[in-house]
Amino acid sequence: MRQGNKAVAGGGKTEFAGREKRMFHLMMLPGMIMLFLFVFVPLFGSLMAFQNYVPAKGIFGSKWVGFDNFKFIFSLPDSRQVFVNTLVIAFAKLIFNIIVPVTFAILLNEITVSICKKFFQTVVYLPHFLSWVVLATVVTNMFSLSGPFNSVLTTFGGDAVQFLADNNWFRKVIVATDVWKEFGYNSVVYLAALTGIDLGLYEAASIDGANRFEQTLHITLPSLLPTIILMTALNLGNILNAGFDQVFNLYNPIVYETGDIIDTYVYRIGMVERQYSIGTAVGLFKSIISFLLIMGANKGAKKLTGSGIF
Amino acid sequence: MTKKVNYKKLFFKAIVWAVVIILTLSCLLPLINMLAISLSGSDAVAANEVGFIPKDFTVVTYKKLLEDSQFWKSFLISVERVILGLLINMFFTVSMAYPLSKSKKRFPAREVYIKFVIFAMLFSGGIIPLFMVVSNLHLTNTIWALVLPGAVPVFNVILLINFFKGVPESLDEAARIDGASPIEILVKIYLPVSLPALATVALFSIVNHWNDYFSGLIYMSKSAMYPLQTYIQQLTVDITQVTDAEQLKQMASMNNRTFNATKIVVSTIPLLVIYPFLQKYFVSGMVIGAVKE
Amino acid sequence: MKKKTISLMLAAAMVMTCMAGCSKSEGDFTANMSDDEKAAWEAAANDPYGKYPELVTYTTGYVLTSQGADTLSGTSYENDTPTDNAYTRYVKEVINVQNENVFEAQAGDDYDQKVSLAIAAQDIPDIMHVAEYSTLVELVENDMVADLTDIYNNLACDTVKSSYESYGANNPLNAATFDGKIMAIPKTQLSDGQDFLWLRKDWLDNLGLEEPSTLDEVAEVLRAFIDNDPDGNGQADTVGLAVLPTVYGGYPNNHFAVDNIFTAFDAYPEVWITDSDGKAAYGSVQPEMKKALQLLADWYQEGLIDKEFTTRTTDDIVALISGGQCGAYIGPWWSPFNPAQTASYANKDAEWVNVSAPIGSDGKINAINTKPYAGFVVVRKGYDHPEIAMKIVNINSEYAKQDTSDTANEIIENQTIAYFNWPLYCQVQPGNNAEIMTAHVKAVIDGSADVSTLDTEEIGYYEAAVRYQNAVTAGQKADSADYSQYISRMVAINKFSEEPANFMTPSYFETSETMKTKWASLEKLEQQTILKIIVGEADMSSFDEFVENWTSAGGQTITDEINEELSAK
Repeated sequence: MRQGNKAVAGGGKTEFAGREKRMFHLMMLPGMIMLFLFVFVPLFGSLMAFQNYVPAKGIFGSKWVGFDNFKFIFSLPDSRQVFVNTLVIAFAKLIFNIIVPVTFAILLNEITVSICKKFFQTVVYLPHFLSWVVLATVVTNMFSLSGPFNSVLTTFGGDAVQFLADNNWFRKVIVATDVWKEFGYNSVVYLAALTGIDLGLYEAASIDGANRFEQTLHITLPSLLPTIILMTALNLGNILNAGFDQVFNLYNPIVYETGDIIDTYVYRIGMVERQYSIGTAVGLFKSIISFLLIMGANKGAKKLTGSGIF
Repeated sequence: MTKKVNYKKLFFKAIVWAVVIILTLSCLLPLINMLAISLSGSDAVAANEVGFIPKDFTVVTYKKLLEDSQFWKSFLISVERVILGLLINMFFTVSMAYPLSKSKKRFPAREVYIKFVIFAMLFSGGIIPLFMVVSNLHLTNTIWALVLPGAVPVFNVILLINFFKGVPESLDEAARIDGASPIEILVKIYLPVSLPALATVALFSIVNHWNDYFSGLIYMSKSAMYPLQTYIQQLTVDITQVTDAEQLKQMASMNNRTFNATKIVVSTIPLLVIYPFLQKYFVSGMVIGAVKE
Repeated sequence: MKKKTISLMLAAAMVMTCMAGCSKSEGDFTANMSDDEKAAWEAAANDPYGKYPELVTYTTGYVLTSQGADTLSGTSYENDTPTDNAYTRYVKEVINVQNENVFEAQAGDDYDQKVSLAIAAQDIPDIMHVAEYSTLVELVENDMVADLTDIYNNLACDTVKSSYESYGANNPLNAATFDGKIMAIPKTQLSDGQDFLWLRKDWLDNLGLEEPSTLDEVAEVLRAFIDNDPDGNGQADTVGLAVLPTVYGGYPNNHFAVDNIFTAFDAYPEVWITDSDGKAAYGSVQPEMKKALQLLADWYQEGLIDKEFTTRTTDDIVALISGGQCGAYIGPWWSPFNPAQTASYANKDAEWVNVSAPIGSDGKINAINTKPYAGFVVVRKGYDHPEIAMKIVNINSEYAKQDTSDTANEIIENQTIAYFNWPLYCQVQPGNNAEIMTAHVKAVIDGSADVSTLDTEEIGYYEAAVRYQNAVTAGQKADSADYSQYISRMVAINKFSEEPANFMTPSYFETSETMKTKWASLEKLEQQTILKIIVGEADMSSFDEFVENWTSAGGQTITDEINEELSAK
């Protein structure tokens, strides 16, 4: 009887688990169909990377060239320089695009006057919507010889600097202006995460005599950590995207040494004539690196926090 | 003693306010500049003479934009697209994120699914193959071409997986014992506690759909069917094509800088209206904490 | 679920197979006709302006102007569409032909994108305009477009034929001819003549300076412009010559590019010249470049060219000029339309003059000819009525302009509204059309001809000129739009005939095979070197290094390739 009972309960449980799994599959189905149709089917287009693709000939009529396009990319005299520039700029952006938005979200959370908080939040999220074409004029003026930054510099006895035409400064300006443009938008996700923190924890801490700073250090930051790790890992997938629109609108040949990135370079190759195959080869290369990085980051996160990001 | 603490607190508060205000101002000033430019005469703008107050005040660029009947048609297409796109995105985001947030034990196939999903986020076949698929499915020149290819926003799915993972398992334990189906559990238990996360991904979806101009350009063969961003990004002030004096006079009072500023102001306003509405979900706080034991 | 998988596979398979080529089958449209009917169709097809017995519909891509539909609002044309507007109605009226647009887009990238997609999908419209020469080559090589040789020979109207011929050895038809067959109807590119040095006339007068012509004289004027407070505001707030960050290229329509300084030294950067052996050679790597670079480096050092030119966007330069901080730049005859001039005229009461400077060794500006074509009309191979393409171009270029009947009224009115373009976006005109129009308007102003001799476009210019002159006589400031029209069309353009330039015609305009992949890195090498030499970060020896690197990194291959291609023609 007892045994039988157990068997029934066990059976019910497996049956339930089975039903649940079927349900889960069913929930996944529509999304997978969409991904299949609009991502996996068009993926055959990646074959262009191994061809000398000519639109009029189509994928099946174009000439196969094996890995020639990849060899070509890596044989370019500037490919090392361009690669390094991309990594340095993208990595710096990755770091600061985490630090600044997190700091801002925490600071904003300290502001208790609800209407001010909402106002600040709304305002900082707006620069995200200005395109770099438009902002380029603002940025060049800010950093020009007669602009505010140089005024400050010369008042304190420094020499005026052409920030955007100086290989020592260009990357810094690129990273700083990007962080400025995006921190408001990037902080949205942290603000949402902050709402999930149990207020009781703060109460308990303040009873224990912890001040605001200590509370931030011991409660807020640890609670945000999973989100921070998640965003870092997802952004790692962008490590080969250093921001085409921004660099394109701000750079000039003098700073090619430090500022020319993969995307601007490929763009200039495509300007001579549309290069579908080379563009696709670069895209494929970037996707593979991103995929490996994200998978690696997931493993790392698993080790670090016990659970992966996905 | 208490006084000292208060000073410290006050000092801390002052610093927080100062930093936030400075950051906010740094974002606000360029926007005011943009607004001022959109309301200024083209000559003053061309000479970089406009700061935060419009010079030679004029609304000619707004008139050009708003008096255009195609502007409003495109506006409606965009609104339709955002609503439809948001619903579709949210459906797929939630329905995929929930099973994928479960443990390997409860849903072994997740390990395979997730790899496909990540793969789909990072790889793409390029514009031409995607165009051919969309056109062979006879979706071009319909609203579906704008919402279906991006129906599964993988980035949002992953965000939501992580929020769902944060919901304590004990919550649905009871419901499962009561025999509730996964969908019931999702709708009755998970969604209500995930409002901030849902608001976040909804915001991302709305912004994406509203701002995307490229798919309109590719999939719509006629400008009458363009969504707003596609329509206005191709409008420029090209004085060399105008030969009529009346029109030249009107055109002379705007240039691409004033016109672009106006486009930005006009197309950002709808997002400004929606944001505070979503914002209230970010401030509610302690939703998840409250149910933790 | 299985069923779904299968149907998905089918859908995918369908997608794949269709990509291999979904071609339409076509029968002979005259199959079921009586002899009379056949004769009527035949007659229409063989007459430059013959009207078809029944409405013929062709599919096409429609090129729109960058003006939005708003330009039509408030006019009687506000309900017009790209398939039903003044132009399409006119074509229908004259030859009974109607367009059906499979796509519509703005001239430029948007339209080119649509063309690429149509080609990639192996589904091009019956007749369309393509902007790029390389696209034409692709279409011809893959046998997608029809041979138009007979059609051109039989049907092209006199205006079209004589316009092409007016280009002489530079005949645009050459570009559309493959193995002796005319595969497309080229759209002509009007010549914009030589670039000029545009100077603030009021500044010259303030400082009592003469108009310069040699490089030394130009340097002197620039020196005075930065040192002697030309605007009299008591501040040293002026910069020297405005220079584009790319320095040169895009002659002659690239405002602020300073090609003329190079050509004064017989250096022709960024174009393919013909060297002393009669072979094609790249201008930027010739030794003549050095003197020009040395001069620019000296000028930069002294501040005679804008110190911050490397980081200026075009908007920034326009701001400098219209804000009254800069009074010298190089630009084309129609530069008064540039916001830099209109805004400085309106705001700062600036007066501008175009000067033939700097001159070369023989006392003339050395200028560079542009390529003579600006796009092509092609017909899908297998289309039943290929002659329609030629007939529409005839109408655009000749018939409509000479038509004084009421039917043409709508077109005349629409020319000034500018949202829809001529179907097929192709008008064929003689290269010096702008000068010809000016001559016509001048004759009317002089009183030697009657207003009725002017065509519709010319009347607009005439009226603007009259308004400008009236304002000046009345001692008032003219409207800046009228200023632009008058200074460019009535004043600046005269220098074409009064102070003619030497024209160098590049030996090659297109993209050779190796250029497609290697040009970007060669160009990077070039721009880096040029800029560093000018701003003094590198010395002149780096130019020799650049030439060496350029040659070995693919420059030589490309040069050989081009010479081979040219000798094969």
